[in-house]
Amino acid sequence: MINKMVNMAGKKKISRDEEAYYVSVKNPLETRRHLLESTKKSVMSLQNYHRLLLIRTEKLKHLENLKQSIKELAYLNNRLSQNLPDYNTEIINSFKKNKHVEKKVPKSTKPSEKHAVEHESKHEQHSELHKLEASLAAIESKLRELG
Amino acid sequence: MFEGELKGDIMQNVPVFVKIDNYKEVLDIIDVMKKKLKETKQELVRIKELKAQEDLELQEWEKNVNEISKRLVFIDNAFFDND
Repeated sequence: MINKMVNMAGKKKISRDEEAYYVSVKNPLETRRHLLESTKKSVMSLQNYHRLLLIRTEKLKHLENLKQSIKELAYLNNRLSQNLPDYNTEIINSFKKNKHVEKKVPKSTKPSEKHAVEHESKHEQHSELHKLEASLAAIESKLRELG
Repeated sequence: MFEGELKGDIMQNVPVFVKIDNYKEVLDIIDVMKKKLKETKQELVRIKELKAQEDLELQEWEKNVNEISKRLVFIDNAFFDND
């Protein structure tokens, strides 16, 4: 058994020698230096990667805080506007509601269009972005009313 | 009628007097909002700083990768370009 292993090892050695290919390196010191520098830069790149991960984790944490702060600000702003007189929005809203009712009545007669509107509203319910867009449009229209 | 006049005054940018029922509450809300805004600004500053750090790291990363590729060309020439 041991002899077999030795033979196998010997065979391997022989085959390795047969495959050996020698290359002359004119400037071995410089080549060695380049190899080491490349290795160093690879390690530094890995360090960059890990530092980036840490920075991104911290950034995400701060972004989450920012999101929370903005939500709280929106809530406070809402409470503030509830405590302040809002005659303007009432007038504008009532005016707009009348307009919408007038416009929407003939549209409801067509079933295909109604289906499309329903689909669109369902899509809007799921999308936070669409909600924000709608509230922005409402604020902009109020601003336009002010001139 | 009164509301219409008030709307007209605001539209003309004439000073108006409005009644605030919960004056104390409004002041409190404004105070909290000021504090919250200060916090928000600080968060934004920190995020900007982190973004700058991130950009620097990426730049350094790019520099390192470029240097590795240059050195690899040299090593490749040293070993396999024996003319």
